[in-house]
Amino acid sequence: MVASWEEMRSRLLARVFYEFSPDEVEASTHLVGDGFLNSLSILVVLGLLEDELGGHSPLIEVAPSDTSSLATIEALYRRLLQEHQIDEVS
Amino acid sequence: MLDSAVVSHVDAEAERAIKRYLIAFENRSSVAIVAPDRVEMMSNQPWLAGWQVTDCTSRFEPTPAPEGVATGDADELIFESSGTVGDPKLVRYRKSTIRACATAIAQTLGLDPDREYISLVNPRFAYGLSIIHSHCIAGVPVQFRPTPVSVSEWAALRDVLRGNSTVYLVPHQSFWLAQDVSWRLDGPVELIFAGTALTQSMVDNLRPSFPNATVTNMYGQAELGPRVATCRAAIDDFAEGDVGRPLPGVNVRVDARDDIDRGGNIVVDSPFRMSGYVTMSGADPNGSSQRAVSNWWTTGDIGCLNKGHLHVLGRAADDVNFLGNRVRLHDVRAVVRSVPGVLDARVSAVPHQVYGQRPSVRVLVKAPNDSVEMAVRKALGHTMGAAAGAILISIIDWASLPESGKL
Repeated sequence: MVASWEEMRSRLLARVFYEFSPDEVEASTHLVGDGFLNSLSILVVLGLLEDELGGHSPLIEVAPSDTSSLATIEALYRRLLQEHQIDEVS
Repeated sequence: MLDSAVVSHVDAEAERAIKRYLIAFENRSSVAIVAPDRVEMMSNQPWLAGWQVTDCTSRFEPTPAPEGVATGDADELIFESSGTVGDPKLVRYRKSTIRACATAIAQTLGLDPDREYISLVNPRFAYGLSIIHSHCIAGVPVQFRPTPVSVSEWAALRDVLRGNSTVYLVPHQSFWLAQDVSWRLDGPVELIFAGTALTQSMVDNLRPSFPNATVTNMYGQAELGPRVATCRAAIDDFAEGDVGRPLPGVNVRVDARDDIDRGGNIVVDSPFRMSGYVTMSGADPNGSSQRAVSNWWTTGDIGCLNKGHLHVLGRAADDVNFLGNRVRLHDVRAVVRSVPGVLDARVSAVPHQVYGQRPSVRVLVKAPNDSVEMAVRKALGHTMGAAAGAILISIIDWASLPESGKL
């Protein structure tokens, strides 16, 4: 069992987007272009997913569009859970 | 003579700054290379009168020498090591030492005019400078590019790669280069890494996209020229920690330690060693030789020698290579302890599949609440930037400490 998306979302907001308003981050559909992410902090995002998924690295399965917004990161997280048949805490 | 025409940059302003640096290095004066936001401050330092100050990106400031003031023998180069927490540490070199190391690097890598060299490395640090100088000495072109900052820019970079491309990069950038699993380049690309530890998982991630690549793993330190040893292998034969044979003229030994089962302290006798450290105000912090015994320099790394190859096993000193930067753990502790409400902190380095190593901080507080972790992370972010998000932070309640009181 791994963390729910809501828990992951909270972690991302606290550890990666802590300088920004959660509402503005949530509303962005272009996190890099809007200045919320850069190449280093994207690596931190993927590292956080990696921490939760154990040996299943998102780094070899991620597509360029997966980090465009919190919604696409959520979709990536859920896709990885499904592909690796990992249950999310409800 | 250095052939400055071989160095280009996709950004015209950065290319101008690099070429002006090379002219100054070759002819005119001693040179100081610092971060962009420190160029102005450094160019007003009296001890740098008559020097040139640059960031190798956009700024190049000659510092006029007052009449009658000696400006030295114009044969020095100083630049910052890549530490990001605390005050920057500058290393001081004779230009002849930089040239000698660059010559050895060019020979060891066998720089080939038929290959297309691309550098994603910041030109102002030791690794980037060694690329500039080795290519100028060999007369082989290299193009610098800023590190891509978005997934689409990384995709654009992959599109310019050809079978004869050689890419200089730092290990954590490998994840971005290999990010799109549907992309593949079958040609004999060479990927050259330095700056921090290259892990097996990083190379494993690269293999689907670069099945026939050669991986060159270079080991060194800003204080040592910077290069100590180089290992080149087919991607399938890469072995984590194997940094190959020392450069010509460099001697490496391993001093056994009682407290570890395998390996010992890596100690280096190199003709490419710096003259010493220097502070921003021009003082010698008297640390230049504190870790050296005679000509031997203690690297702070643990390793072993096997059939002439040096194998780096980890870090012995109080710092970690983390997302491309050397982070001193006691500096991290000092930042955390400065946060209101924090009683104490213990910082250690823990392994991580993505980052290689990362700092882990146990923060002792009297009254735990959600805002403490946020305040700690913001304080770390202020000095380390985005990398702070990857630091492991555990908030420890004062009341929950064991009887020993150990954090």
